[in-house]
Amino acid sequence: SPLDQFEIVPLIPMHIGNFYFSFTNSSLFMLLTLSFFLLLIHFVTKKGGGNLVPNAWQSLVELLYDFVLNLVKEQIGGLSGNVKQMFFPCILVTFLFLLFCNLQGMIPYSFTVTSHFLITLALSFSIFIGITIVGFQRHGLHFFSFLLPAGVPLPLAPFLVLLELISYCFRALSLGIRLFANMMAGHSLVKILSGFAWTMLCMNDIFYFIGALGPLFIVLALTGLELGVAILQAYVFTILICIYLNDAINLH
Amino acid sequence: MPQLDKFTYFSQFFWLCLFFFTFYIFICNDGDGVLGISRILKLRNQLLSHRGKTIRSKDPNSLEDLLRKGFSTGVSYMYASLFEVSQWCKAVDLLGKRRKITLISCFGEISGSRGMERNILYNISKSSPSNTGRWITCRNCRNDIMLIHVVHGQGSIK
Repeated sequence: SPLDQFEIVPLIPMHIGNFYFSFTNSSLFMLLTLSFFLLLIHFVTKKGGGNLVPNAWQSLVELLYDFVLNLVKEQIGGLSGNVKQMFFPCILVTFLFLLFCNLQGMIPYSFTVTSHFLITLALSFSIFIGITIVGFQRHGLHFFSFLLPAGVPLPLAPFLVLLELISYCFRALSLGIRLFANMMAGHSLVKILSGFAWTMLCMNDIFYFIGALGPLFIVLALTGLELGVAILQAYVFTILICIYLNDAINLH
Repeated sequence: MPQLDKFTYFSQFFWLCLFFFTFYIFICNDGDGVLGISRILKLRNQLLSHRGKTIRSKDPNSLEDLLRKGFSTGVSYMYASLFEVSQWCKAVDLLGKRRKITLISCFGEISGSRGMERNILYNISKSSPSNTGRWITCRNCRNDIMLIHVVHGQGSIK
């Protein structure tokens, strides 16, 4: 079945009472991805930030850093530079985590951590709660004016407040579900098509053998597409966080 | 659908929190990580901007500044030598011996120095006609010099 690849298997079973926190294959691949990136960061910045003239790996890390920094600078408006950079580490870490987990999922026979909605929803909901707290911290109870756009006739106000409240709360859900669905759909599709090609190859028939080239090329193209989607979804997640943060700070 | 298996939820959440915060701490700690990257980027930007400044200093404006500075030092050397000459005249005059000759020589010195000064000022005004500020300061300097000469002349006549 194409959904078998998302199966979570406990590698080291652990539980206290009813709490099962076994070390699973999901955790193993998360650990591998993050330790790979931490090693990269460590080797790049080992002597107080690395070389003045960067090599390829250092330019890669600096590229990622600059990319997220520009994102934060451009998307969050109305604040001085120092206050903006208060949010930068959190956004950078989220982006790096998602980017590398998505990319690692494209390695054959590995496990895609972000294809489980618990992971993406946990991330998006924690960030959503954090953004709401930032909004209340900045504006106090005035933050509720976020729910009522300016210049609305008074009889419409109750309905609009309800609508805005629902749309505000569904932001978190849509943020998590978007990433999860993209990852899961892409991986299932690649798995289905490659299974199709494999079955045709095993038919011991020359026509099927030639026909199997079709799905094979589609799988090849889809792999490229999935790599693009992996990068794009991490970017979309990050830019949406920035936009929501901007909304919470500047109250549209 | 394996995503709906409720037994794995707590385990996934637990390990996600653990690894995510470890990742956060390792990336954002002091020393290396993000701070190291930002440090090296700032240093590089600063060095690049300095290099830009040295390149800019080769354009003609700064050359004109350099010329102005050279002229002003030259003029001040001239004035210094003039001042020394007049000092010497004064000293010779105060000795009181061979009064007539010293008087004549003093007048000769003074008129010579005036001619020199006129020439210098003429040259300066000719070389930098656009620089009115310099011209005014030169006029002021000239007045000072004239004052010195007048005082000096009175001393020698007496």
